[in-house]
Amino acid sequence: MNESKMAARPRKQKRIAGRIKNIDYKDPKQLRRFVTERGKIVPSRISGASARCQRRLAKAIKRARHIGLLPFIEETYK
Amino acid sequence: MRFYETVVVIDSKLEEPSLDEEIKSMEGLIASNQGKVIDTERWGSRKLSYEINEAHQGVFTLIRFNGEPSLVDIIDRSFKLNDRVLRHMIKRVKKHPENISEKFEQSGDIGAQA
Repeated sequence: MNESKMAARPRKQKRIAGRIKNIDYKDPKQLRRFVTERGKIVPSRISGASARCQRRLAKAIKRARHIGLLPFIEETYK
Repeated sequence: MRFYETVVVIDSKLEEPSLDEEIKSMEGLIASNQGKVIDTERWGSRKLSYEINEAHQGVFTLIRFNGEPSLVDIIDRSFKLNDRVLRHMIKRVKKHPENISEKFEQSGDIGAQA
């Protein structure tokens, strides 16, 4: 039963991001694409970032959070 | 000599002249400790993603400079002691960008204007 449930789930869009160029903690606009509305880092299996890029993204997002460019958590949606 | 960049977030409650003074004094501190300021980029007042010391707005400044590792300790300390500096981050970079980009002025992003 469990298996049939999983098979019924529509296939998500294929990985597209792969390699991301110029990952920079100073560019929150770019990094916003890789965090959820709540501010969590999107896993690479969703975003499609390659392992190397995911590591760089995670670091950049954490740095951006530190200087206040990105939220740690977004509690209210304005 | 190593390449560094530092992002400093200053309390936006500070008036414009004293803000200038603050940034100038940071540059002066670098220069007076065998450092060399390459470029200062002012991003202006931005909305902070979260409240820092009861401030919702911060004035972001990026200073690119060259210097010895000991210089980093000195300016790190001065930022820590400065109440008007909400956040700061000093990072070593491999090299400075050749043409200093203006991308932050183009992309306003999260409420760039106060």
